[in-house]
Amino acid sequence: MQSHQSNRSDPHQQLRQLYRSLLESEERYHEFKQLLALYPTAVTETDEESEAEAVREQLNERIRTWVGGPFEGLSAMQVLLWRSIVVEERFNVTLAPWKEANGY
Amino acid sequence: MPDSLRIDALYGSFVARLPPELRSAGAELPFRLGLVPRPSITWSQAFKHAVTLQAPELLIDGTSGVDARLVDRAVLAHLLAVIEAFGADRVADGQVTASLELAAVLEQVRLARDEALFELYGEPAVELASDADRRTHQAIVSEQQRFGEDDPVPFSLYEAISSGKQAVGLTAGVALGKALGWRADRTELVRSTLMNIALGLQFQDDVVDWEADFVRGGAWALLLARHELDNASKPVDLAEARALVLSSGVLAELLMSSETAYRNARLGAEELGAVALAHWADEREREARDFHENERKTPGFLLRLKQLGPWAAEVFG
Repeated sequence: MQSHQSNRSDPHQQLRQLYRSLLESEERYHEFKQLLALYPTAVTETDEESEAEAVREQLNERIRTWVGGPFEGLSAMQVLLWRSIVVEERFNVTLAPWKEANGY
Repeated sequence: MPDSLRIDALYGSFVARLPPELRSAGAELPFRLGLVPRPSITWSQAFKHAVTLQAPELLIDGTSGVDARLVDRAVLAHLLAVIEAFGADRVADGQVTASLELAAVLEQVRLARDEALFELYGEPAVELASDADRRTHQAIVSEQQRFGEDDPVPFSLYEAISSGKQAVGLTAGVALGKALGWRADRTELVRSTLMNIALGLQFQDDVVDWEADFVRGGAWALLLARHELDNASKPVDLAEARALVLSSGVLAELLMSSETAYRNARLGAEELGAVALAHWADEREREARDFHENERKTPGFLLRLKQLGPWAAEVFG
């Protein structure tokens, strides 16, 4: 029980739960993508307009529903990272994603 | 697995023999074909595994006393055949813009492939390649026709066209077997093993790329799905296409076919004594089984896995 509780309060574990929940549902994945697309790209670490904050809060609420429990919430920087990967499909080249893409 | 740096050395020897005005485009071909994000990335870095470009070498790793020069020619011919097919395919389906320079480089790739095949097994090897070129070309034309007609397609026809597309990737391995004096049944085993590897990869590709293919003008998954759903009518947009494809179960079916192809490749490689290749095919078979099971449970799984992969790698390592 104790380990279960600590897992649920571990932000890394929470992100894993989110990742799994997105992998498991097409509807969730598209809703997630749509909410990310609404998040403005002009946000910086220290400057998030209230409209952007509202989108992020809406996203975090939906995530709490999907993972079915406590979720610390994605920060502005985390939302921007997700957005760049999932919406804009801009990958960090150090990850060598082209290797994954070319199955030949 | 063999040292993949050898791939770059062999390809480098091809580039060095290009006319000076084509050398730059030749050296940057993975980038020019839109496969990698930087011009400095080489062919060995562009692919996930050595099998794609070095298959003939992997096929004979259980055979002792093989002339290294023959293996070199076979690997060079094979990698050039795959590169040329890859380039032609990307130009044909509009993933890269055709240019005179690109066409000239790809023509040089084909000529160098034939030269390597001639050195490997003489005129019969070049004839094998010409025949394979014809079959692959016919398959690509059939594919474009099907996409143009946009009618539902049964799985059997899709498999036949997919098999035709792989023909160019089988020649060098078969020619190497012939050059080594292998019996017809053994060279046939080489051919079927290579074919199963290529189909295993192709089926997965047609799952992972289906949305991008649809946007470009034709996706097998959609034509198969419409056939599966009693000749369902054409979708008006990607969202409708997605609903059809995901409800049809064809993505799981394609991944099951991929698993079967890898299993057959593993069995062929084991019979040939190609231990490293059998091990690779075994890993791919297990992976394909996992993909297939997850795709069946939650349609769209593999595409989501691909799209979320870079984020997962960044966060979870």
